[in-house]
Amino acid sequence: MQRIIDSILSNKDVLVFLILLLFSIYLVIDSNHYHQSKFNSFSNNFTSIIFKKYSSLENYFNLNHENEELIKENLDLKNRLYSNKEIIYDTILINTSHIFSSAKIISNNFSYSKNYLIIDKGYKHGINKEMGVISSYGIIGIIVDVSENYSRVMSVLNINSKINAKIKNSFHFGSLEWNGEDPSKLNLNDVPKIAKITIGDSIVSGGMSAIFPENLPIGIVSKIDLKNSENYYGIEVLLNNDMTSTKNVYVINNIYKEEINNLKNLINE
Amino acid sequence: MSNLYFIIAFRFVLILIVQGLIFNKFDLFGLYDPHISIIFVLIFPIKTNRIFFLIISFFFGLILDYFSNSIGINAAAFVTIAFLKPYIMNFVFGNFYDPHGIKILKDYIQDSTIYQKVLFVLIIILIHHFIMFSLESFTIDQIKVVIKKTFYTSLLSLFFCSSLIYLLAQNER
Repeated sequence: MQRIIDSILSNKDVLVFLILLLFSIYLVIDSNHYHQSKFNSFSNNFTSIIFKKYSSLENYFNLNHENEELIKENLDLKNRLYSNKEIIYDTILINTSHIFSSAKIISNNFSYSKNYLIIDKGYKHGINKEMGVISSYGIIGIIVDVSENYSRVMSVLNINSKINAKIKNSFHFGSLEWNGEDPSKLNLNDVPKIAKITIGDSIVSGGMSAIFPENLPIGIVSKIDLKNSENYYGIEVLLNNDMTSTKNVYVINNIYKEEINNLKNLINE
Repeated sequence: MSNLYFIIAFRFVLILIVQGLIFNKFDLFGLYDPHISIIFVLIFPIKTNRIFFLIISFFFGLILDYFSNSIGINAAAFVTIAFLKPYIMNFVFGNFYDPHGIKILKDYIQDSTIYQKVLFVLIIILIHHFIMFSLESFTIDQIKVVIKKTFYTSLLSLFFCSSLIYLLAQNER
């Protein structure tokens, strides 16, 4: 024991140097998004393979539940189809600005304050950065990194994620954020006081960004906090989908995204 | 002794401000900034405690990072050159340390040639810039760009550092 302590003490310069160096490299990775994604895409490729194997096993046991979910969704879609007589079966008139493709979540996290998911589709399948990911009932997140076969999704349960959302059938919108506590609740901020809101109102996506189309269901208002000093509501939104057990998701590709972004950049310049 | 720490603190603040506010905006050909902040490590008093030197260099680099918005990159580079400085001095200035561990208090500034001084400054600058640029790009694919950037920026830094040290030394005399 004495010898170990002696050898540590005689090399304390090197030890201090290594600690400081590692700490600064940790700072580099932690504080810069580019480095973070670079580091993650390396570790992604490595861990995705393991997750994929595990997830295929897990899927087998969940088949019953997944079937029920899909039947429910089918039912819902059929109801909408037959209750709306005005649907015109003409391919020219169908709005094709958003293309959907399916994917499976192979790794899911909700215990950190910055949560990410991994899905089993990558750039080989036409997935790109900044595409939206949704489930049958709500929004899951936005794709931040793409490797060949897998993609990393910044979950809505990430304190850095901000999603444009609005109150259904009105034009008052705000940004949907997570405060890092309850994985079933999000906060809708920046909704002006003049908006009329009651508990139980539906919250849908706002369509102000090029990522999600308008009117995707997200959740319902569960608590309204009216701060007297400010001109904005603090709204708590209960999510429709259970983020902790979602398995099948859809990736949305907005084919006009580049066009919209180019236009936005023009304004910024 | 307190005088020594006062000088260190004074240089710390002065060099940070000069680098952060003036030389970071130099942008020769829109790309290359001279890093005169390395002077802080180059002229750091050699009699001080080595761990103290390492920690001070770390914080120097970290604060510099806040100026240039590149958290951690300069800190890593500065800690490394602070750690390697005694070895490089030994390599460049020869028998600066006695093999028996007793320090020969030789005035290495007066007893060395101009080539030795330039070589010493150049080696430290090269190491610093290489670490800085490779951490910045953070990938092997861009190694050519990193080396090119390191080379040109080093030349620029070498010019500014040597002339500034020369001017300061003249002033002190």
